[in-house]
Amino acid sequence: MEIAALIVVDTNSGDSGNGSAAAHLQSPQVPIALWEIFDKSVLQRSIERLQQSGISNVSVFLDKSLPDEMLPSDTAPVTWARHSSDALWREAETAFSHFADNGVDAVLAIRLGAYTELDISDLLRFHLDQRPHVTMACDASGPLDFIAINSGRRNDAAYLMRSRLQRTRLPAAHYVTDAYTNRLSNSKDFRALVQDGFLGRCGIRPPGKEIKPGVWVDEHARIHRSARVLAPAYIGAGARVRAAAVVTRCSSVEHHAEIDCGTVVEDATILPHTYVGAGLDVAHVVLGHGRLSHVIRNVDVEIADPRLVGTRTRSAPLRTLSTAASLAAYLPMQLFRGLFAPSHREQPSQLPSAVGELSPALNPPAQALRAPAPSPSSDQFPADFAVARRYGDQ
Amino acid sequence: MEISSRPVVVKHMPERINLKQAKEFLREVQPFLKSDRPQIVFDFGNVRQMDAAGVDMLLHCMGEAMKRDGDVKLASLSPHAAVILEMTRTDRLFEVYETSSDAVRSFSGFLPNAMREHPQWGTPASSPSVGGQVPVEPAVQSGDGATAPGEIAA
Repeated sequence: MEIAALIVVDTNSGDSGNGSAAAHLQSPQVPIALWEIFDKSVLQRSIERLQQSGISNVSVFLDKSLPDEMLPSDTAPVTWARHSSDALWREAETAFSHFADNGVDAVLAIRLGAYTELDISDLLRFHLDQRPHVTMACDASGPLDFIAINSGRRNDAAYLMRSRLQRTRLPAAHYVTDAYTNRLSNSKDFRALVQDGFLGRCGIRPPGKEIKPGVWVDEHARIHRSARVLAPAYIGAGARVRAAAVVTRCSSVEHHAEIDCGTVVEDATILPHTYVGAGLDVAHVVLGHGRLSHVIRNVDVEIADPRLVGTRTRSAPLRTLSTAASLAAYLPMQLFRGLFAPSHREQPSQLPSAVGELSPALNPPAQALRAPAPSPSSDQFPADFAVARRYGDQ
Repeated sequence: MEISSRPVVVKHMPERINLKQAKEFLREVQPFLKSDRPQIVFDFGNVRQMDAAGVDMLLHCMGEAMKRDGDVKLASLSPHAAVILEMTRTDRLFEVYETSSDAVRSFSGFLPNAMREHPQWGTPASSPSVGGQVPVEPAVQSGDGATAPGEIAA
């Protein structure tokens, strides 16, 4: 029995950041299925789960407008197909026909999407035993966009693909699962998945070495000794946490991200290759790809200032070079500033007159001005008489 | 992960933590903070009043412990202490546990279910209501309060 899988990462479904709230932004929308959780995206995890269930024939359909670096690099036996968002489902339909022509018995069509830990082998067993045309995986909240189709049912497949797996031509069998599922419809769901991973509520676990209870650090990560990383937290491979930074409350700093000095990362995910500037307070957000998705305010904000949030280059030699260049340039730049930069210290416009003026502190108090002058015959000072001593013996 | 076999010191905080009490408390915990890789739990169950000196003392203890590769954790936060720590945003600098014993065990292994939960963690916060009046004293005001003797748990 040969089974193939089609995964469509649909960018038009509103599953990027905070959906319609982010529609006006300039930077490319990266689907949540491509955001990394503990070093792997949901797409990578879905491919792995399929392969673990014995499905090696996997085709992934992605929007071609996504930058190349968003794609996972280490999922070898997978066919990647990149098309415009309008053509994605049409190409998936073509791929279904191709599978059917090449002797595949059933095709698993998946729209990412949701993260689910359903038992794929059990779903396929159910589908083959019940012999329906189409089997839809569902949980208590509804369908999971996870559908098994007999390869002979091309019309059913075409109808499904054209409706983006939303409608079936004929009534479908329902495979109901109670496995862990997160629909990843916005950044809040994404953060919930990260927290569930930390707190052991789902199958995702932080990789790397647990350097102290609840703190996982991956290879080549660097944490300054004055930085504070509180459990549960994850610092990804090659990530850097600089002096006096704080990473706390289920925060995840993904691989090659950098947290600059004094910044607090609380209940947040810093996506790979993201630089977070110094002295910031980053709380309840998913930060990366030039955007900040706020979980509580349900809004996406584009940050163009690289001093606040930037992107670290993906090339390791370039990263090393830029670090060395910034180190080498630091001292000459400070010398140049010291010698040539204009001083910001304000000088009084007319120095001689300013020096000659009496300080306001030495003026007689208002009460003293209002009080009647003491008569020369008086032998004692009045109670409100004030004397100001200037310098030394004056 | 290295399983900790070093002792964990549990200190019960006094009912009032003002400048005088903080100094006195700091004097008591100083020997533990000076030890190698100190592991200390502060039990806030009795705390009814806490001022800036108390917060400062906590940060000082945290800094001292971090210098020696140790850690300070908080347990049994009373509503009064929780409010002050949240207001000063100090709570996010510490791991906070429901009970002292959980905090002690957390030095040996990660206990996700024992941590004090936050509203953003998807479950209702277990911290008590913060609607009551909480006195915030100036740092210079003195007061009385008893410091319970520290206990050492293996």
